[in-house]
Amino acid sequence: MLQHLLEVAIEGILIGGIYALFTLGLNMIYGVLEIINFAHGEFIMLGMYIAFWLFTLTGLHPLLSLAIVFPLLFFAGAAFERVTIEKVIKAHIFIQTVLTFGLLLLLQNLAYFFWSADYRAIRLNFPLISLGSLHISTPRLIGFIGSVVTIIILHFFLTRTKMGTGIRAVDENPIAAELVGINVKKMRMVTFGIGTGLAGVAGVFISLYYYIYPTVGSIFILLAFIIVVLGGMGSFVGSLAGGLIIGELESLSALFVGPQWKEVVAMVVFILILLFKPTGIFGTGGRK
Amino acid sequence: MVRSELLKVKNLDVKYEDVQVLWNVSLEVNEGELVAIIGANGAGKSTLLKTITGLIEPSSGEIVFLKQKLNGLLPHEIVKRGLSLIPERRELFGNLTVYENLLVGGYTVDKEELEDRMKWVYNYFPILKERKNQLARTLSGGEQQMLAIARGLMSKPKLLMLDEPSLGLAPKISNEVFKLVEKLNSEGITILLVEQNVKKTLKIADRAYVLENGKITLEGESKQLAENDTVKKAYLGI
Repeated sequence: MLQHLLEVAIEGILIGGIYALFTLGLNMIYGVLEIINFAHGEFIMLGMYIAFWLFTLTGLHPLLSLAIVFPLLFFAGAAFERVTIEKVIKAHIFIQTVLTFGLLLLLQNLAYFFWSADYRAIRLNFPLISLGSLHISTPRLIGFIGSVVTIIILHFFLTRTKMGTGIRAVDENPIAAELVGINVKKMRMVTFGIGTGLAGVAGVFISLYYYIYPTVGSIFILLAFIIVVLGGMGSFVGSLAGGLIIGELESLSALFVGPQWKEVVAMVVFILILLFKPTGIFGTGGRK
Repeated sequence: MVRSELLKVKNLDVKYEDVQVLWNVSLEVNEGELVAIIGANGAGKSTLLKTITGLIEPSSGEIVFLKQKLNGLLPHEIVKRGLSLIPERRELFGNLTVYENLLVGGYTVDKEELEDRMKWVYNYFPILKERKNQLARTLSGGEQQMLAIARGLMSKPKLLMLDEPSLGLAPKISNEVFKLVEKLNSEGITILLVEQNVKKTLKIADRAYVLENGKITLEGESKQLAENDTVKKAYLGI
């Protein structure tokens, strides 16, 4: 029993790392553009499908497909931002919501149209990893390590490069950023691209162990919302901690309450946070 | 000495929605000058500076800087041309370190020049060097104002515009800010200063404009304005 509990706990951390990755993308977009990208889960879905088709049609290993997924979804996201979101950047939140929600429906239905509602999976045989008598899911471990590496690269970009520092400045205060000479419009485009690119990368990692179907993104966007609220809106550390907590919670509740209840448990936690700590663990409660 | 013209604002009208806030405002700043805009709260001083930097679009009128029209340019493009605004209430990047605030202030400066610029600024503000790894929001009010000015200087501006730099500061620190502005000007930086502290401002400025309800009602040498009866009554409390 103890061994099983440990395995479940480890699995929670592993998937939590991947959750943290796609949540960071959503949170960055929110911080810099101040819009909620409801279609974020669909970029995860696209990442999964691209990995699947590259693997199925050309035999390319999903991890190698990252080199295609990130740039492709970066440019797709950046282009979408420039052409549509930029036009409503000062509009009412309702209009912005309709736009990104519309993108969600569009991408889901395109996926149905081109790839049908079939459940698909990448069938790769990974060697089982054992730590003593503990068995660890290799695809999840790979996804976790990949996510950690991606998050470290992202952190390096945001803190050590000129553009990254500029993005953080826009996140803090867009008007002051414009006044020191930062092209805020360009930063919004780049940030949206990075956010969707990260969603795609997370999608590739998830495709190593999860089914792929057109509406798969809706599970993850729900988790991402809960994680953002739990960790705090606009908080980098909050997304990391929130991802791990929700991943752990999902794993443990599947064990103790039953797998069919794991989303219910997550939603209950979501409501409890909203009731008792609406700014989240690391949140400051809105910046302006 | 004939000084060449740096900034010229011609017949500027500005509206927020349907409410007009600036009426036919014209002013000029020549190279090396310290020019002040004084006036009461709500006279439109900040609006004027925001319009010059491109944050607000004028409904009519012209802004010419170094003989080129600025109308229609975005603020980040205007900064590149050598115009820097230190906004009201400082608008620092609170969760960035002092060093990062300065780094971002020099966003338009080449990498090679950035180091030199940083040294130059640290030389002016040794306290910022001491606190370079501190988050900007943890600084005291006076230090934050120094950082805001330092950040504005990072872009090597030909014209530095300051919006109420003494606002909310203790008298002693506010005096330091005025001394600093004077010193920067004496070292060749052209300055356009917006202030409510008329007395101190007229002491350091070469010339000044009086803005009242969105219109320029008086202009002239600071010394003459300080003797002007209307200015004395309305702003100096004499």
